[in-house]
Amino acid sequence: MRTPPITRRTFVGGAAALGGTTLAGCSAGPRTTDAAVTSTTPAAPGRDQGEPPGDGILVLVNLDGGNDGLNTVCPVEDGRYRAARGALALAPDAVHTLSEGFALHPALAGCKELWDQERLAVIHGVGFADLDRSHFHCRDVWQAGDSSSTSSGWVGRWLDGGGADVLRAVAVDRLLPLVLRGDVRSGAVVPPGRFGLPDEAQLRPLLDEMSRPDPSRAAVAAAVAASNADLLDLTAVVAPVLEGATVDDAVGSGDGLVGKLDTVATLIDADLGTRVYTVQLGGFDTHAGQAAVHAGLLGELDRALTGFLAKVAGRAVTVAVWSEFGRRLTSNASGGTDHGKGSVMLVAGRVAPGHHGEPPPLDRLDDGDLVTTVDFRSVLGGLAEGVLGVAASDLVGSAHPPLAVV
Amino acid sequence: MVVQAPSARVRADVAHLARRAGFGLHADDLDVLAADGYEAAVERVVRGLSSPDPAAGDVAPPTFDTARLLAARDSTDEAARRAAQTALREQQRLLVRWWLTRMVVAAEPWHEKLTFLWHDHFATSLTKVRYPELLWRQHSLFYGLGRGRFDDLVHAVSRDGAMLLWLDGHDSRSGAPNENYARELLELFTLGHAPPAADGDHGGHASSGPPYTEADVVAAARALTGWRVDPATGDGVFRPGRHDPGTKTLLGTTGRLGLDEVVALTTGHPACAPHVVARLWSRLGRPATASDPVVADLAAPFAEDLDIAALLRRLFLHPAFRDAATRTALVKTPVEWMVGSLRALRHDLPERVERVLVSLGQVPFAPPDVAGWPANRAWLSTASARSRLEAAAALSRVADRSRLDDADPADRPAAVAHVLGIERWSDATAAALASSALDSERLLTLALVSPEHLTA
Repeated sequence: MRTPPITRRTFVGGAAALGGTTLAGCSAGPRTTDAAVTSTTPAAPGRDQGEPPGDGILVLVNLDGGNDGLNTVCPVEDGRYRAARGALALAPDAVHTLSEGFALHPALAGCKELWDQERLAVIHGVGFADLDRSHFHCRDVWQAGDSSSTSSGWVGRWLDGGGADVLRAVAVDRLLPLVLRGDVRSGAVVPPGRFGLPDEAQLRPLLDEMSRPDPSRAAVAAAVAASNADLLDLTAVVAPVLEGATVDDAVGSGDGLVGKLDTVATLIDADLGTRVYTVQLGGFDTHAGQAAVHAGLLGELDRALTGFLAKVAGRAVTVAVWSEFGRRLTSNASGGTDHGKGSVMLVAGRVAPGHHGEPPPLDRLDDGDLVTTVDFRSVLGGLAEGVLGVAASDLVGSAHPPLAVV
Repeated sequence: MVVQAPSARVRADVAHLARRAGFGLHADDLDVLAADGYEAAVERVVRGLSSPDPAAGDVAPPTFDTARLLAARDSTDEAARRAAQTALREQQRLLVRWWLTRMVVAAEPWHEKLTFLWHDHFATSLTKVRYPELLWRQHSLFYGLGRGRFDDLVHAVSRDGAMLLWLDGHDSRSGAPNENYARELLELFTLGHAPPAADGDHGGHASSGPPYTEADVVAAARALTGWRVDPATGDGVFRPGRHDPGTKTLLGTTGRLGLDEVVALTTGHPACAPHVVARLWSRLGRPATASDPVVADLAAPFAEDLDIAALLRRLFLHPAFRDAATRTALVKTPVEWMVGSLRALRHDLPERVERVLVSLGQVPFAPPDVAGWPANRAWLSTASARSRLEAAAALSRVADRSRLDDADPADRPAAVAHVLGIERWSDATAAALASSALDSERLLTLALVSPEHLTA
């Protein structure tokens, strides 16, 4: 087993990091590329040949509902954790030890392997100053990359600044997430599974005619027409790629993360030029009976993530796993945890591996919650610069210096 | 009965009312509703909320055997557990179909639509509640109380069995209050998350936060302890031994607060009426926040009486409801689109409709979370466009297209507009419909996915 070098650890000065400058130089040192790079892969767009950052593919994985960061990357040796969590505290002999007193949830065996291969980064204490424990507010703020206005998403603003290619950002989902919504452009949404049109030869020209710009339409109707037009463009490119995919539907349950990331891997393999993908796994709002539910969800994350990274081995792909907030240090009486504030982020694939940010101290809480030591915009900014090659200030403002996680 | 054809203006207004207040009407029924003018149509809609719809009532609900399913869950017999799982899933599926069928067959769909709006507001899902009988009871609750007083509705919802399981009230007790329900009661169901509208007298702290504090969440959670789901009946029951009888301070009022006081303090708070009205106006009229002037118009009387039927009457009679901006402001939700299309075509619920709604992202009794479904442009993804096209093509293949086939091809775009209750096509849509007029199946497919039908 290899342990990531201690110099990767990027301790920063608590509150100063939120608005200060300490983060700017915190990840100095050689950039580490994905350890799975193989020299045998031919050069192709998006392939990692040791090139500078900014040419990668970003996959955003949203754990919806407020993932319990403390039971994901666990301060397993901290007595205050054990005392506060009681029966929900993870058993020290079941967890996967990382370093510096932290360990991964027992269900994250694959992530432990990624850690050992220097393909996993852990960012501690991520949140924002006015995080208010509301799912809906926090979810929007995270996707907007802005706590004052949530009218567009931070990736959507990147789309606004680029061309009209509908494939630049793709959500493998049913609905369009806010993060991919710009003021003038939006990402495409590809459902998991096959993707074709019925009666295409006949309907395509008719739909094309119906979808052409028409100034007599009101704004919302024009948006419907535009989405029909985008569908035609998207289908022409994506349908052949996903021809062999299996459909993965079930009433009410949504689609599994494994299937969604499988679709992402297939799309990446087709070199469509897509730079950002988003996927979601829900169910993390574990107010009651958390132990079994959380283990099941993290197990799904682990399988999906490791399977996906194996499929895209050799490519410059960075996966960032985020949730709208973490959960309270002290567990509740229902065997669950209530809404908290700052939490941990996992970043995998092509990353600067190891620990980033300062772990929130368990004896200095904010109304029962972990304090935020890294503003989430520092992470998004780091992803914008390190993966997309765009100035962080263009997408998430300049108040929070980008964190070099890639 | 011979119905005098209403004027085009009145018919268009009433078609808009029927779409927003319901799921739209068949062209013939629309003429009947429009016969006495718009105001009479509004009156009929509001009165219809007071009586059960016989056609909807004739739809038999699935047979629930919750007690047996519960017993099997704890059984040591693996085969029995599996059989119960299968039965549970089948009952869930039948429950979803039961409601969709009611929406499609109701003679006057207003009652069903209002029930659906409250389901979206107090969004509760089978994914966690599991037992469909509890969601079926919650449907009855919304159906029965959804047009009455809002405070009565909140009171009933707060002790509803499905809600107690969904937001963990069942597990909340004195000394260990669970905040889940209390938080959503304040944030989503009554007060909203937005800062109170600026009225100039907030002094030093022109607040930018929500109208409640974290301490209010905890106080409400304590006050609501003691409510449990009775396993024998599925109803909420009060267990005094689990209730926290101590003094709490909620929204500025201190006392030994319980459910009655929580309901009175939240529904009587100045933020409540604007929040609830904004939500309803955003679904029935056009997207708006609590500070919107139309919302303010409607919220002022609603704050006085909390009378939902009166609110709806004022809403449909408000001049803004019928103006051009409102008529084109909303994207139909997948359920509205599917049910509305079926009603217009007088077609039964298709066998695989659940699959279509899964792919479109809206299955009744399975909202994504407690905030309900997203609205408007969220439904306009490329994935949704594809699923809609597939469903439209499948429906057009089997639907009765005689009214289109009977028309001269040149008149078919107008005929399909009449069938779907659409006032006029845009030029681009009209051109595409004209190009497809020789094939009524394709014509109907196109019309069903047209911007005009999606936003009508």
